[in-house]
Amino acid sequence: MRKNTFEWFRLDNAAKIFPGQNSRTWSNVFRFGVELKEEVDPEILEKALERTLKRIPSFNVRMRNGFFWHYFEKNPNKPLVCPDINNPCYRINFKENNGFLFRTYYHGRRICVDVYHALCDGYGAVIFVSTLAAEYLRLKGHSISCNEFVLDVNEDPKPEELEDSYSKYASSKVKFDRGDKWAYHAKGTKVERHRGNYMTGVMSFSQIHKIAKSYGVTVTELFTALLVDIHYHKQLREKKKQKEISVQVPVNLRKAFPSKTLRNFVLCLVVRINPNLGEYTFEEILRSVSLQLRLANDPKLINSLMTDNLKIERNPVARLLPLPIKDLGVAITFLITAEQKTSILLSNVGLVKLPEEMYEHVEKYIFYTGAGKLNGARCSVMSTGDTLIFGFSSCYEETDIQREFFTRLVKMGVHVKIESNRD
Amino acid sequence: MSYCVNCGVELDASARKCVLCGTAVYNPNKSGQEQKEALQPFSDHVHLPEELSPYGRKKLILAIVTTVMTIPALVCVLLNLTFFKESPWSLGVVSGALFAWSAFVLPFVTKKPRPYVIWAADSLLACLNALTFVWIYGDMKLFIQCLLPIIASCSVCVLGYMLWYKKKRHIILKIAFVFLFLSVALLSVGIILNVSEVFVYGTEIGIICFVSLLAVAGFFFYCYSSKTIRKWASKRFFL
Repeated sequence: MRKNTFEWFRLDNAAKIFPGQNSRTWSNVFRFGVELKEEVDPEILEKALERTLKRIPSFNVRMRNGFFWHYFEKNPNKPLVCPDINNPCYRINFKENNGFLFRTYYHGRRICVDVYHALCDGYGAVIFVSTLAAEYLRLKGHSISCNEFVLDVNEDPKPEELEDSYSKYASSKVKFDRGDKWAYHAKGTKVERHRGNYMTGVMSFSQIHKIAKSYGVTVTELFTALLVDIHYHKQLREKKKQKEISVQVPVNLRKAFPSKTLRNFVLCLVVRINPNLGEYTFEEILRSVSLQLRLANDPKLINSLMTDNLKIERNPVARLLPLPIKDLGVAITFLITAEQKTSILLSNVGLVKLPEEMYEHVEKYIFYTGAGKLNGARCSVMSTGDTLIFGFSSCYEETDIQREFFTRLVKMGVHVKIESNRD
Repeated sequence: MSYCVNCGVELDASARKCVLCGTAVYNPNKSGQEQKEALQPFSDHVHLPEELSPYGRKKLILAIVTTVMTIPALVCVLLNLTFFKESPWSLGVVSGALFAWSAFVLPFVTKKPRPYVIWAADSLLACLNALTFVWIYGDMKLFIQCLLPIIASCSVCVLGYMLWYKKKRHIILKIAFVFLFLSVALLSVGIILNVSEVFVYGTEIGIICFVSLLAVAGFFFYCYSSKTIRKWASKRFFL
């Protein structure tokens, strides 16, 4: 019998926000997937999924309502595997999909998983998808070893993989005030309900890395600066009152704290450029973005931000409020803050190192953040081997930001291949 | 391999046009059939999830609100029956709770709210509530001369607004008409209070309310007529 079986567990600090944000048409869902070099067999995928869920039980849950908080309960149902759809990341409903908070799809050579953010962050989802793909390949008769991204499904789940690392590591005596202001949004014509404009640029990691190195910055800093520059010029062209352009950059806290959790352990840093301060060149934006990100990426500062996030959760009065009131509070706060205060989201999962034998079966990974409610650009980056993918998710039909971003990369000498869900 | 001549990016084998700029793809090395047969990166099937009822989440809140309204009414009835037996005063509390429930809870209980039914129920229960109070204190003249005309005039104003609201209108115009109907209702209430000798300065206060609300309505009418303000409002209050 497997050890560390559980009946229920609490939502972590970040996950507590997401059920309150849920609406009839929108949930915070993101997509991870893997493109193999052979056609996917749904029956084998189903078996692989069942085995993976036993190893990663934090996915084998359903959401329940307590009187004061939501909680996760072990899901007795069987997970579904469905043919892929054209509108990924559509809203999650806790009663649909046999209660599971993730959806598994297959399409040609692709295995995709739409994950509700309350379950895990990008790092947890990458491990889940990689383990699923590796197990699928093993069931197909290939020999695949394990590493930090591919877990051994025959092992027991570890308690530290299920821990709420926010509560464990938030210990700062200072609560940091973010001081966010309402930011600029590149708006356009909204796409239909439950749909989004998803686009991926596939490029060479070494080419991008070389360009970033020539500027003396990291890949994340280069992409952030490019996006800020595009938004900066777009706002100038609109000739309206100039607002701050702010980019939300989620940071994997496992690099700053010794956590092994597969649940959420991520914190958003914010980079801002104020056009009212004067004219900016791309080099100036790049320098400012790079300095801001490096300054904010300090474990002590991150700890104070984390403590600040936990402040409401630890407040005795807030804890005593019934769940519907808490959810209502979150929904109202989300409406007037959240996306209102960010122009762009850039989530970089980084380099995913697979076991050597797996590279010959994997073409590339797929990563999309769900389309937002207001933001014209929610971007996702990840790389495997020498392949870097840059995903754009948008709730608008217009593709001017995407076009400018990719054509600028082409002008820098990068070969870009585009894929999209829109004709 | 197909490239967009405009953007310089490589396109998917199945792409018929560049997704960035819309330029049509023409690949002389690939027939149209081959292009069609190439596997698209995304499935064509759009899954539209079941539309969720907005009432599902509200059920619990409705149950709590109803309980909160019922408990004080029940306590009052028990107190009236046991300790304070002089007059049937608890009937007033019960009818008040019933009226509040019909006005604030009933519209959310029904899946398809029927506005005219709710309007009729509200008007009737308001009359019943007023009648209960008047019966408890034994002043039937007050009901006939003052309370009934006030309820009737308010109901007529609400009905007028409902009939006007039937057509699809701009939100600013809707707000302007709320103030307009409210000003008329308050003026009529003031006049009735004065005529029935309940409040001597009723008409004067009614006129002050009427003029101020009319000014507010006028401001919203101006906002509606100005294209610049409408454009700004639609952008600023965009959901």
